[in-house]
Amino acid sequence: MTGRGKLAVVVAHGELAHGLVTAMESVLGPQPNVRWLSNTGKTPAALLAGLEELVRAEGAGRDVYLLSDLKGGSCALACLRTARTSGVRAVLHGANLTLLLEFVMLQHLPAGPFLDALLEKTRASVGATELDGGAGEREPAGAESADGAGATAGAPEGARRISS
Amino acid sequence: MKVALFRVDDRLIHGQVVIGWSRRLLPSRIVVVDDRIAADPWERDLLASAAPPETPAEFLTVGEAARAMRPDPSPARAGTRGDGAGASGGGGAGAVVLFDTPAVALQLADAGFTVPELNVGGLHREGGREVTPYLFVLPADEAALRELARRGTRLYAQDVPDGRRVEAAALLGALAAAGRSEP
Repeated sequence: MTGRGKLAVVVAHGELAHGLVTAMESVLGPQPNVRWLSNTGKTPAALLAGLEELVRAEGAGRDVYLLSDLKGGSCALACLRTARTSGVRAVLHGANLTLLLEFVMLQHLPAGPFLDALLEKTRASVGATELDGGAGEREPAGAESADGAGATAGAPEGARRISS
Repeated sequence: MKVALFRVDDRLIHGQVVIGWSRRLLPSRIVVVDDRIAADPWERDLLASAAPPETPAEFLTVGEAARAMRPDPSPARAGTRGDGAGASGGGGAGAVVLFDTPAVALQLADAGFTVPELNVGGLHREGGREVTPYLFVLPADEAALRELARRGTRLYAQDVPDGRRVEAAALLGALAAAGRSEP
């Protein structure tokens, strides 16, 4: 970690960025090292300029992480263009609430382990719970029953079957 | 080159193209026609990274695109750049071809290939006049669109596949109306 620690900037479509930060702060409380930027109402050039300015103003001496929502989207491209010219440590895609929560909770870790743990925990948080009532007769390959019978090979990662 | 969609969008490869149009059209590749980007390895790599893994991105100059798209029985292929599979016909639904402004489509017409149908899907010009919530155009954009229409290109405005399609007459009328409402 350098200087004043890590800075996260969530860059996302519509109200998502603000919503993610608001949701995260409803769980953990105010986090002055997490900022957000929306592409709504901005030209691509204006989004890029706004992000570069934010990173310049608040990122000096810090490890800056840009969290974009959609890989390949305009927000992600703005992040990558900013990272090219600014001292950004990493650009992450697929931002969700878990990613943001874990960012705050893991930020004390050094950069390498931090990024590994952040991605591992975020990926592990994505899953599905399939219920009998909705699935009909379909037996999802590898789904695990609620009584802990265990997962079968080929199951969607994190899927659990709950008998109703 | 078989083409499924010609589109003007100043964001080029981005979410609406990658998720919206590509999932719907299943293009064989995404082709960006742009002299500047074709000459800039970093921009090519950046935009190629935004394309879906199963859909190669290709970057052509206007001249290369004109050669690739002109009906030509010769087997010669136009030069290509980027990580695409070349400008040959290809399978599937054909390519999605992107221009960042209507002026590039007009340059392509000047170079010998007139786009038959052009989706005007995103222009967010600083200081531009609002025509639709996704089209903010400058006078130069309007002039290029009108010239394309005059040369036979069927224009329509539509940002996303399930969005409302605004046909040429309405689009050009909206352009004129937006111009009249300027102070």
